[in-house]
Amino acid sequence: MGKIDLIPGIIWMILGIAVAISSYRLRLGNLTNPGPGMMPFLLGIALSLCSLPVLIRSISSFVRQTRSVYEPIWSEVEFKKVLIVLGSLIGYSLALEKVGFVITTILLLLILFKAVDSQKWPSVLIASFITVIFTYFLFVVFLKLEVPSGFLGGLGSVGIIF
Amino acid sequence: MSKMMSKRLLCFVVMIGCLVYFVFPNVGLTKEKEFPSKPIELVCPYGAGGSTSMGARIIAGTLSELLKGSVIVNIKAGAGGAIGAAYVAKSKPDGYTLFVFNSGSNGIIPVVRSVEYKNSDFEVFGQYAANLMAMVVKMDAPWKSVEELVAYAKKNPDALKYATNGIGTSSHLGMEIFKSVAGGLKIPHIPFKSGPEFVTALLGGHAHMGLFFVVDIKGPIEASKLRILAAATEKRLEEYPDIPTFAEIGYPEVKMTGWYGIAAPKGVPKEISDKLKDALYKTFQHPEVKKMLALLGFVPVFRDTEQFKIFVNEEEMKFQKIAKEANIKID
Amino acid sequence: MLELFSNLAYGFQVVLQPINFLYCFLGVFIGTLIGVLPGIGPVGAMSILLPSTFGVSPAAGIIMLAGIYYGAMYGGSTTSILVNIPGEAASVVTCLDGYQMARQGRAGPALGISAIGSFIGGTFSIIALMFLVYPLADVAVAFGPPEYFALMCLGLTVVAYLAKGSLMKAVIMAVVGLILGCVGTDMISGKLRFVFGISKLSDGINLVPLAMGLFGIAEVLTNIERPFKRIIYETKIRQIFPNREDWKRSMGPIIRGSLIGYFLGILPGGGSILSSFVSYSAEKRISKHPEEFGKGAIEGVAGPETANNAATGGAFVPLLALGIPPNAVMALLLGAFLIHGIVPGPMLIKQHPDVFWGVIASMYLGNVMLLLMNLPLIGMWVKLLKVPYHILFPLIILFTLIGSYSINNSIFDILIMIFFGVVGYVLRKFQYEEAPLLLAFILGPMLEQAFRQSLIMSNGHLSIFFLRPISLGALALSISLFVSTGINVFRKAREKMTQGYS
Repeated sequence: MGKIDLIPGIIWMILGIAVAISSYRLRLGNLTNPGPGMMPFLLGIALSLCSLPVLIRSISSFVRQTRSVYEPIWSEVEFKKVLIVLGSLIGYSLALEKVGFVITTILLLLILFKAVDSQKWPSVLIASFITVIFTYFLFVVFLKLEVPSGFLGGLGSVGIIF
Repeated sequence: MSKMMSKRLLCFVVMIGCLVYFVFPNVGLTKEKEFPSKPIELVCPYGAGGSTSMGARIIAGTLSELLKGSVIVNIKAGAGGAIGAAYVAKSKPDGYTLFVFNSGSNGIIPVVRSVEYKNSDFEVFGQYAANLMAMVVKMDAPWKSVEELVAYAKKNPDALKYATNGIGTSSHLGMEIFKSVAGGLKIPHIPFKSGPEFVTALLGGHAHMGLFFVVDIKGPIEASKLRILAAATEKRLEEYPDIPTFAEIGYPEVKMTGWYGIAAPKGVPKEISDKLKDALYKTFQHPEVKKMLALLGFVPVFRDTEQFKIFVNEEEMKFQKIAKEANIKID
Repeated sequence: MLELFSNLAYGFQVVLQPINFLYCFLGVFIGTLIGVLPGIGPVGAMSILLPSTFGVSPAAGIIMLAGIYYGAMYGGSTTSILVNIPGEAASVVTCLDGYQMARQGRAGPALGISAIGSFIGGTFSIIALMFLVYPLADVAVAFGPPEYFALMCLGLTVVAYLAKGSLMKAVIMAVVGLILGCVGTDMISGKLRFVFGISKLSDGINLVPLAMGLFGIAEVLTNIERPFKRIIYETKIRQIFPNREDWKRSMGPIIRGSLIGYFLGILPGGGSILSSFVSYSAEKRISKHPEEFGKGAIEGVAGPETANNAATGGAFVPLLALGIPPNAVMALLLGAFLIHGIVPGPMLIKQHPDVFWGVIASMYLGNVMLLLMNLPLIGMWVKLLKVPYHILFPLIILFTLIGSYSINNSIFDILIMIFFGVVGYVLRKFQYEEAPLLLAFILGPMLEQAFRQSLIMSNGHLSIFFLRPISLGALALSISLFVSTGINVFRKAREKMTQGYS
């Protein structure tokens, strides 16, 4: 472990305390008749206790000035791509039921194919299109699942085409 | 234009064309938008393996045929049925969202929990099935009748335990009424998560008794592993005519039935609602439907809109009374 | 004995009728597809296809539905191995070593052993089903809350064996998993815990999106952040089929996995997930080179995959013997039986021998079909890995999105998946492992529930756990495992200190 473990260490400590406090408000009961709060309470305390070794070790490596074990993991990271993907996923989830499967999926695929690693527009469009049609047929027509149809009343389920 | 560009343009046009066709299905179609012009969703608030959802699929099948449109069962399970109910209560009352209105999500749950809907948010069409309940014990248990059981329980408080398939279920409420009218018996409650777990608990002797749906215990009864002591019904059970009802034994308050009907969010336009009502009445009384429901273990019971409304009101009051007396309030 | 074979022969006659044969094939085909596609499980597919069985004979209908079930167990490991996304909850464990094998270019052997193991496990459980149905059913009901509690304790000590790296971190992950398991409705008191007013959480966090996010999405995010060229390099294909060494090492795990899977499959609530975890840790415990686990040890694929298929056979035991379904799939199958007018239970063999033996024979046939289908596909799957990642990952993401949505037709499940994808991504950065969290998440609620139910049964006396033989035995085992792990850790820590701090 290294210096960087301080962050998770602190998080576990805080989380453990928070869990213990909020479970205290639920009924604890006693050990032979536990209430709903007993188990999470004990777990919260356990978590805070477990975070101690982590905190201690990371603080001691600050003191010793040891080089962090993880530096290789943190370099060469292209966060921008990760954020783009995450953002588009969240956007997809929120828009899916309002706009409908077909449109949101095409948009999502466009973003994923293009923005994350630059490809040319035509191939991106075609790829997105084919993928949407293929997945539509696979999931909705063949497996008879349902996808949201959105405000345009587009394809939601098999009944529309057939 | 060069050949390459015109090819690209063609592709593009085709794509846009497909997109338009797919996304705007009503464009270019000249037929009248008659109800139903798109699939109807029948929301079932219980999981995909259970008998409720299968019953719903049977209803959906026949309803589709009668309405000449597709009716799709949409499972929205969770919170004892509250999730599905809340979803439907908030849906547009355009006739395209229907609900399996039942004794769980619309009977007991609103009484014992705080939920995001009220029964008045729904407009019921009618009832199609009921689920009868009975009290069971293990086959080799020493009590051959309810009286023997009550006597034993009085002499040995807290020695016996009863199982249910969860808190705030008809299984739970039913037993609590029984305990109170039988003289305030002391029998602690062990909740389990599902019907099969309930049955296993009884078979293994981990609990001594329970009140449950006849359909779920038929298997073990046929196998002579469980025995019914009494039925929590109006009349004696058809398949087991030798078993008394609780009323006959002296506990007429112990009457619990699961009920299932179809409803929609309040405010459906009259023409659509009349059309639905008509199709639903036919579906509920259709001999094939009744046969399949019976096979699944339901008792096909038909109540039309007015009768069902009155019945639901009575049931609501009954559940409120029991929950108050037994002090069952979850959240 | 002779009677058994003549019954079986009769069963084969039934299943070889063209329509039954066709339905068997259809079932296993759809099942494999469902298993491969992440998120969508057999229950959903079976319930949608149930109405289409109305028009045919009971035997054909049940044969098809059963085929979907065990077919899904075959397919589930495919995505686990290829892209670290569990196609089925039971295939989570396969991700641990299977995916590592794929990264080393050994996806072919992983898929191959997985298919063979699934076949052997499935077939074994059918044979066991024929002989041991009734006695085992009695054993199954003997498991009450105290026994379940002890079993879950045993399961949790397994967490230690899942850890590749730091034990401390694995324990923290397990505690976090246990806490996450508390989210939802407390089933003993009915109170809501940690729900923050979100009604969709009132049944707890859904396992499938959690697993898909923690394993699959986190993996995708981790891969994206590096330049794509590197990823292709890492997955250069080295072998297509398992070599002799692989076979040798897999035999033991397969045999043990069959037994573990079958017996755990009988228990209601047990089933495939538990058996795959138990098999994995048993193999790691027994292995002469446990440090390989988590880095591509083939035993870590062979054992669990065999176990989860064997569990499907075990799951039929309570259904056929007592008429009680031990899991949601069996509950659906029960409904299918009922609709066709058949009440499963001891009367089933006498009243409908064609259905009983036909279904059993169809399971043999189905397993053979699955093997024949899956083996040639390995070549295809392996080629799929060669697809450049910048094309592959949007497809992976799309499939997981649709998969998680389709569980309950709910956006919320997608959001859960994304959330845990981020969590998993961050955890990996800090070198925490996901597997202990998942296992604890699954076992925790069951443990707590069993504990409190037992206390109600005993009116508050803790002695109940020690007075019953099965629970006493399991608890003793857990304690001894716990202690021995503790001693190991202590010893290692002492060594480290004497050697000087690194």
